[in-house]
Amino acid sequence: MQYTLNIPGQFRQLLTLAINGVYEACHSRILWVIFTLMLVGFTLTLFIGQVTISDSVRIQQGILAAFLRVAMIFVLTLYVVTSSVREIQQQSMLVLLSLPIPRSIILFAKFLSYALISLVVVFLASIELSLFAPILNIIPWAITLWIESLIVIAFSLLCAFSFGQVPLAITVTSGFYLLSRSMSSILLIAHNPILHQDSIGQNILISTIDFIAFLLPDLDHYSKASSLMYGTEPAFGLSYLLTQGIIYISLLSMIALIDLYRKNF
Amino acid sequence: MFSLAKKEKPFSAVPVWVLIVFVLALSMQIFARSSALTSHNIQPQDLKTPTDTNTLRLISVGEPEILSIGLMLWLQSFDNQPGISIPLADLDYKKVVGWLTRITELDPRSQYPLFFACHIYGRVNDPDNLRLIISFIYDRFKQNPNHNWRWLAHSVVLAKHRLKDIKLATHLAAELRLRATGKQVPHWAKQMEIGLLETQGEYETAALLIGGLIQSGQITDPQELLFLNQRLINLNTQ
Repeated sequence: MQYTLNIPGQFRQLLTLAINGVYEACHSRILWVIFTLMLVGFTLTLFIGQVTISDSVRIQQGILAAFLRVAMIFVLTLYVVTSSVREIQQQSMLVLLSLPIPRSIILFAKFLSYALISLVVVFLASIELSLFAPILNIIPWAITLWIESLIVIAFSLLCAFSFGQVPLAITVTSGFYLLSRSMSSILLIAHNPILHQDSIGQNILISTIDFIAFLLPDLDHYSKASSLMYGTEPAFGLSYLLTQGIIYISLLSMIALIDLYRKNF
Repeated sequence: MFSLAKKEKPFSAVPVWVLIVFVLALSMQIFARSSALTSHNIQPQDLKTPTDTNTLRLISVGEPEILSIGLMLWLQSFDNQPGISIPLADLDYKKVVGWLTRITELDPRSQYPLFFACHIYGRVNDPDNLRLIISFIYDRFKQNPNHNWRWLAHSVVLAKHRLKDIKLATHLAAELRLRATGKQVPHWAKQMEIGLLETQGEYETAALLIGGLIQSGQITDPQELLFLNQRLINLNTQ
C-alpha cells in the first residue's frame, strides 16, 4: 500500500495547506480587484436604471447578475492559474513535493483553498445583488454560481499543472468556459440545419459535436440571470446542477491527479 | 540524464483509486449528460420585440455586420427550440419583419436577410404574413434598387402566384422597371410588368411599354429586339 490510512493526519495536512492558500490570497490583491469590479458593476447598474423607462428593476437585476457572473469567474480563473503556475515556476512546489505529503493531498488542498476563496467572492457578489433583488431569488443563483466557479477552478488547476504556462492555461480555460456555456445552442443549430444534406461530412460533424457535449458540463444552466429576474427554478432543478457539479469536479480532479502523479518536476 | 529525469512517470505511478474514480466520474458524466440532453424542457418561447437599432449598434461594439450575422443566425434557428420545432406559420411575422429590418439596418449590404425573407418566410401560406414579407422586401428594394432588384423580382412572383394579387404584382413589377435602372439589372426583370399587364388584358399599356423599351436603346441583342417587335405586333392586333 502506498498510503497509510491515517485519515486525521492527512486531513490535518489538507487543512493546513488549504488555510495557507487562503492566507496567501488575503495577502494578494484579489480582494481589491473584486471590490473594484463590484463598484464597476454597481455604477453600471445605477446607470442602466437611469436610462431604462420601464421594468428597470428587473433589467438592473439581470445586468448586475450577468456582469458579476462573468467578472467573478474571470478573476478566479486568473488568480488560480497565475498563483499555481507561479508556485511551479518558483520551485515552491518542489518544497511541497519533498515533504511526506501525498500528491493527492497537495492538489485537494489547493482546490479547497480556491473553493473557500470563491465562496467569499460569491458571498460578496450576493450581498451586492441583494441591493437590487430579493434574497430568495439570489440563493439558488448564488449556489449555482459557486458550483460553476468550482468547476472552472478545477479546470484552471488542471490546465495550470498540465501546461505550466499562464497564457496557454488561460486560453484553454476560457475556451472551455465559452464552449460549455454555448454548447446547448451549438447542439440545437447542428441538429436542425436549414439544408438537410445528410452527407457523411455533416454526420461526422454532428457526431463530433455530440461527443464534445457529452464531455462538457451544462454551464449554460448555471447562475442564469433569468432565474434571478423572474424567480424561476434553474433548468433541470438545483439537485441536477449540484450532482453535475460533483461529477464534473471529480472527473477534472482525477485527470489532474493522473497528470500530477506522472509528472517529474 | 537530466532529460531522462524530466520524462513522465509510467501510469503505474498513479494510485489505483485515482484511476477507478476517474473511470467512474467519466461514466457518470456521460450518463448524466445523455439523460439531460434527451429530456429538455419543451417550452416554446415567443419571439421578442425587436430591439432599437441604435441599442444594437451600441451592443455590437463597432462591429454591426458581425452582430447582424449573429442575429440572423439566431432568427433563422428560432423556429427550432430545444425539443420542439415551431411551424413557420406560428411565428409572429410583425416581429420577424421587425428583426429582419434591424438586421438589414445593421448591415445594409447583406443579402442574407432578403434571401431568407424570400425563400423561407415567403413560403408561409397566411396571406397577411406573406404581405408583410413582401412589404419588407419592397422597403429594402427602395433603399438600394440596383442592389436588391432580384428580391423584388421574386416578390412579383410571390404576389402573382401565392397571393393571386395581380394588381400588387403589377405594381411591384412597375417599381422594379422604374427604380432598378442599373446596367446589372437584366431586361427580363424590367419586362415583368409587360407580361402582367397582358395577363390583365391591358394590351395597350403593355404595347406602350414594349415600344418605350425598344426606343430607349437599352435592348441591343438582335434576337431580343426581334422577339419584342413580334410581341408588339401581336399586342397591337389584339
